Amino acid sequence: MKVNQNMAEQKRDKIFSRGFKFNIEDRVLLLSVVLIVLVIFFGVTKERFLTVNTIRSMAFQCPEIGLMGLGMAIAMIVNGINLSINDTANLSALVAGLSLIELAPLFVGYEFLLVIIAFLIAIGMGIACGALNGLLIGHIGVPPILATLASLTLYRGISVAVTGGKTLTGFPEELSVIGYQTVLGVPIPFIIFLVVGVLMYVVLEHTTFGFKVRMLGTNPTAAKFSGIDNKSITMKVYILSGILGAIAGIIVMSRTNSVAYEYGTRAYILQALLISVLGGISPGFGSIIGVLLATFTLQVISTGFNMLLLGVRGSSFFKDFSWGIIFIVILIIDHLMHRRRGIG
Amino acid sequence: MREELIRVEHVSKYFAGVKALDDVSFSINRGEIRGLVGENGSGKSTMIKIIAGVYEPDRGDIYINGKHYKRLTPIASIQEGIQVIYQDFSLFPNLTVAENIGINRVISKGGRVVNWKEVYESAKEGLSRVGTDISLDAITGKLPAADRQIIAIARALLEDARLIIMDEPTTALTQREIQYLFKTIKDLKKQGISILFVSHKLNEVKEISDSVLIFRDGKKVLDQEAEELDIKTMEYYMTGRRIDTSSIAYSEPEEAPPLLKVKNLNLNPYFSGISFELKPKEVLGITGLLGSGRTELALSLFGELPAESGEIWLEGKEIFIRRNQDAIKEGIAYVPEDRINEGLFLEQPISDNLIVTIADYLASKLGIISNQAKLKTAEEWVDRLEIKTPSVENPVSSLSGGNQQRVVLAKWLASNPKLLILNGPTVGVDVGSKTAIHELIRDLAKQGMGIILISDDIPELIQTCNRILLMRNGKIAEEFQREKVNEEELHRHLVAAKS
Repeated sequence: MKVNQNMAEQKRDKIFSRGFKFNIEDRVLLLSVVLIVLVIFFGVTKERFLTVNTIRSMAFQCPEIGLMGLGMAIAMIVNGINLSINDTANLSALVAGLSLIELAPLFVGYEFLLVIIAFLIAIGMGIACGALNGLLIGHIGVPPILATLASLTLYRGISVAVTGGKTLTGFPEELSVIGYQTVLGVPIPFIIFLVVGVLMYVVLEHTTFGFKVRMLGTNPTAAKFSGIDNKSITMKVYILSGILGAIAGIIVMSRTNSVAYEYGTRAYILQALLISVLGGISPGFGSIIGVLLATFTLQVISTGFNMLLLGVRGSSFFKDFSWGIIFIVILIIDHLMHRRRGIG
Repeated sequence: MREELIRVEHVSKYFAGVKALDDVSFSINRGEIRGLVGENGSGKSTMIKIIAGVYEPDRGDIYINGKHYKRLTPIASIQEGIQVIYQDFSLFPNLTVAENIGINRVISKGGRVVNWKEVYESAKEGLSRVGTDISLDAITGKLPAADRQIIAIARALLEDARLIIMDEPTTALTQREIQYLFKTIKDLKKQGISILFVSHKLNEVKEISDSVLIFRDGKKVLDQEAEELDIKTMEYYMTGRRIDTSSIAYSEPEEAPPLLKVKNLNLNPYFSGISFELKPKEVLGITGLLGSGRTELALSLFGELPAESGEIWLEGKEIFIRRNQDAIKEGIAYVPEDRINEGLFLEQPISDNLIVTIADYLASKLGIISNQAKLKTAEEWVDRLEIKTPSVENPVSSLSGGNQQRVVLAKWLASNPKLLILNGPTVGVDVGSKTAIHELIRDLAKQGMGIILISDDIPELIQTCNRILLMRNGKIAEEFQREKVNEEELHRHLVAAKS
């Protein structure tokens, strides 16, 4: 009798474990397949798609949104969200841009050093923006969606006030090294994105910090009762998210050689969310590889549609429309998958 | 006048190829109190859900009031007068008593405007049928668990219930409240209402039931009058083995300086003037009714609700505990009462749950945890506490209640604490795991760990503790030596505490 029960239990456990692993590994597999199918589809329909130029331009374009996607993802793993990430990027870039202009007279002949200092200032601003979010959410207990919506407004407001709504330009040439140059044919922004992605992967999957982040995201009460310092972890998560935003801001600034308070504000938050969700992030779970693959997938869709619909009227409307559709479809699929897991 | 209300014949149910119910038949008569007993995973809940129309049986027939059903829908089940009261009572904690009881009838009638007079009247009618005087305007969430249970029953009665299924109804209740519930159940029986009392607390089932059903591994293994049964027999049928609770090896506390000394600890409004000592190798029981301050006292030793004043000495050194991390650093571990919410990360792997308290210790200087070290540690604990699972990478949610509780215990034992505080460690745990946990507690004490066991399970206290403190209104009211007190006496003192 006892043996029977054990067998039944083991059988049940096996089913559970299959369902569980299926979910995460399957996401990476699914995204890989979707990515390959899309590349083949666009490659066949548009011969221009699979050229070095197109691929390189996609590699220039995707890092900024990919970095914001990573910043969104880490917030979502602790059961939060960072709606202010795009405005963190813009504000960080703005502070860096202002320092470039203001400090330029002091660094004549040392422009390269100045650029590096400006980047550090941008990262510092990212940390400050993240810390405010962390303070509101972790210490005061404001729901993440409200806290970051409020900080979004604040950061954008500061940017508008400082620039008077104008676009900042006229930076030293050294700035565009990051945005324009390639190493062995690979765009520097893409290299930065991959390096940050690998670091994030190691941090989230293999460090105690990442472990605590996932536990906190799964069950904050149990995390507290297990001795995890929830406030400090939450603070660090939002600071990290802010840093990722700042890096995205730096890349935007050096690619466009300008700073504008409204850069990306129309679509980037939605796309960062989309990347996170498509990448399979949910509270306590999700893989950075999924987020990277989701970034590439969205970039391929975006570039591919652009080529297909070139010259068609209303094509930009169609792009927005397709983001919305993709988002809704993913949410439905995720919901159905979760429900199936729940019944198992 | 043995009139049959419901008969279940040869019902089987499979989940993904696993048999949850295997050819089960039984019947319930009008005005009969039926006990249904079984360990976790024995098929109790599946049977409840089939009768409630939530699950469709794969095979078998159901007859209610002589009417034949291949399967029930939730609506058909309700129309036949079947009401299930789940463990959480399914009440709206933020609404008033009247709203909770009366709203169903108003909603089921249709209509868009709420007739408050009607809500109140039906609520009053419901409460009068269970014979209680709970205020209709009280906020439900603020009432004691026993009152909420009565409200759930009153609501069921208004739906013209003929069979009320109660799923683990006594889990959240104190001894005194249980007696109150039993009185209500007996009144219902007099009104001709049948009760299916689902529980794994054997003594309660024996006390209240007319007849008892026992399920094991999805099969009905016993169907007998309660009078003819004793607890030992029920345990045997439930677990398939004899459980010996008599051979208890106590470790005598050492005549050494105390391991823990608490002096005049205060926390308004929960407790005040708490002083006690815990010797090495001693298991100290703390009991008391809900609201006596026992849980708050434990939480304050663990830093969750830091005390306002008073002293805590551990191993002869005064320690200052302001938050959980302080307590953990000093070697104090706390196994919470509510293991699902406070103890476990249900969706995460067993391995991650097991190493959560020692993650920092397992990691390298750079903060990297090697997967190998994690799995090795986790597997050691799975072996040591005999947690039944094919892989440590399965989520904790795949385990039964007893095995989940072992995971919570293991995660704290992994931190190698000096003082282990257990709050209701065997609540909702099957008999087999319960015995294993009791043995573990005594083993740990023997090895020198100080243990505080908070419980209102009197047999558990008497079997496991060397000494028992009784709390009343935030103070330690009485102290009992195990060898000088028996179950009835302790029970009397505990219930008398409510005054």
